[in-house]
Amino acid sequence: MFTELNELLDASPQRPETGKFTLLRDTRTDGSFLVHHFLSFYLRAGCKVCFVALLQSFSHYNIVAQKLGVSLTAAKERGQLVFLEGLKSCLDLLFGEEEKQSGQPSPLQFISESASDLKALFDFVRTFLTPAGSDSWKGPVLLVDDLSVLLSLGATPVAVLDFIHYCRVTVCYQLKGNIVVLVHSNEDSEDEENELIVNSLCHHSDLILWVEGLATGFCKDVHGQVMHRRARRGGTCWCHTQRCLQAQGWARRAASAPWEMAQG
Amino acid sequence: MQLGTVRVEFCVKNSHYRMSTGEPKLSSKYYNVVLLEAYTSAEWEKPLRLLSILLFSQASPTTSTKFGHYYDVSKTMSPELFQSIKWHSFYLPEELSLHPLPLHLPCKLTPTRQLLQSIQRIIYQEGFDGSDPQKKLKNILRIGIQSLGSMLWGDDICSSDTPEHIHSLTKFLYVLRGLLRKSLSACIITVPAHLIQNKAIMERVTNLSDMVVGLESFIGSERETNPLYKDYHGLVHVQQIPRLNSLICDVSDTKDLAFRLKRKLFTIEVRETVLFHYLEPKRWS
Repeated sequence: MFTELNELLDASPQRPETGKFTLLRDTRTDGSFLVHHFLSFYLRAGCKVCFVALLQSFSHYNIVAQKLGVSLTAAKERGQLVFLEGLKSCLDLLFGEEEKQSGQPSPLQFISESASDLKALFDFVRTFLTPAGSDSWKGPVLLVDDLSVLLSLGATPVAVLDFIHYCRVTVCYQLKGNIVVLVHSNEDSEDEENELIVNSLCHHSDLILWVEGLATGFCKDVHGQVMHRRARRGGTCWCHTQRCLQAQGWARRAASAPWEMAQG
Repeated sequence: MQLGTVRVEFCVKNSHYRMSTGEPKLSSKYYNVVLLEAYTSAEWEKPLRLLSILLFSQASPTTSTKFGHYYDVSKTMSPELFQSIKWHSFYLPEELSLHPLPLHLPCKLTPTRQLLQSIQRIIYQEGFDGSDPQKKLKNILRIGIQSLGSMLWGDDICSSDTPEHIHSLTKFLYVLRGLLRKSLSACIITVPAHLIQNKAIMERVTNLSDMVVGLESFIGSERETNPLYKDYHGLVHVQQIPRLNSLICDVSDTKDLAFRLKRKLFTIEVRETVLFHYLEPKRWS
């Protein structure tokens, strides 16, 4: 995990927040390094993590996590981490033997068009994050990398938003856990379905971390900027604080612009 | 070559670092999950096929230093070369009769579905997934797919703004990605992006790929007569490079690349050199 990012967010593995929905958003760059940050952060915090990894293999995340000081294999063995490898599940669904398919429904069964919603995926998440009697872990965490892939696999935007809604109710409100989701977006994107999901999630997020490549073009020393936007809901007043920092080297640039919206 | 750490690199001839032979040198190691896509106008499918040949031709041990170096676009590959290597092809009419899909699979029967089945079968039978410890792995499976997304593959994304099979290409790429990840294989695909009307599909295709390279031809554009580009046939856009087993990718310093295709020479050069040469005479005239 990145200690500079923890300082900016005033977060610590010793006292993880509860009930928060964090949206990771990237534009003109790759924001998956934040996924690795939060994965190692919550594992160090002692939380039970359900990682829905749709884009890369387990070995990729494991190798990167080891560089950040966390072993995903060990976390799986002690029951702290549940890892859904989307690529592998998809292959099992499409090329699996008939006997295997008669068992537990695949979390990604919507790909085979037998179901149009993501209920199987939600059931998978709920089953593994609902605490068992012997669990000693702190709050559950759902991590998704990345949500935009679900659209590529045939899910409708409404189905994706329904899935996130059910996860928020269960994980954030009932189980007092946290959710971290990565989405991609571009300013001139023509993917209307993806932009619909991104805009909707922005409104429902407690924290948005927006990673952008530099607008001035490529630079060797600085890869981009990270903007963090936190929504504090206190009564009828919304406060947004906004800060920017350079991604490479984590140099802070003062761009705080707090404003308040009066009671509407 | 270390197994599992494969990377494909384009040779870039930079005038500041011009090689003594004056010829492009292609170095190649392979990612086991490289998915290389390129989009171009139809006239420039040829350089992409050429790239495929350069990157994936079998090099004999005696010519390993000249891997993929010699070619002539006016000639076809010799039959002797075909017969000396082990290769598999996919021809849909034959595939349907030889390998019908199992009935229990819920997916519709499409050409791309058959192609996935064929690739999965070859990976398993030839031992590229390591499932058979008796089979000694000697090489990496190289896969080349041409004009994916075109009507040749039964898709309508090139013929309609609102295609009926809008997810067929992205689903195919996702399953292919899974097959490549779990085996020692690499794949290069060409996609006729200029024909795909729905640009959202291309954004999703890019997201599902490891490496994305675009070839932009000058033919038919105003750049064809622009003196700034008179020595070149088009631009090379490296849109995405792989980031596997690492936190960030190794970003190249060079961003503006132009290519020139001759009968026996394919060159990629840094375009800023062209700009410098154009401005200098004017500055001092």
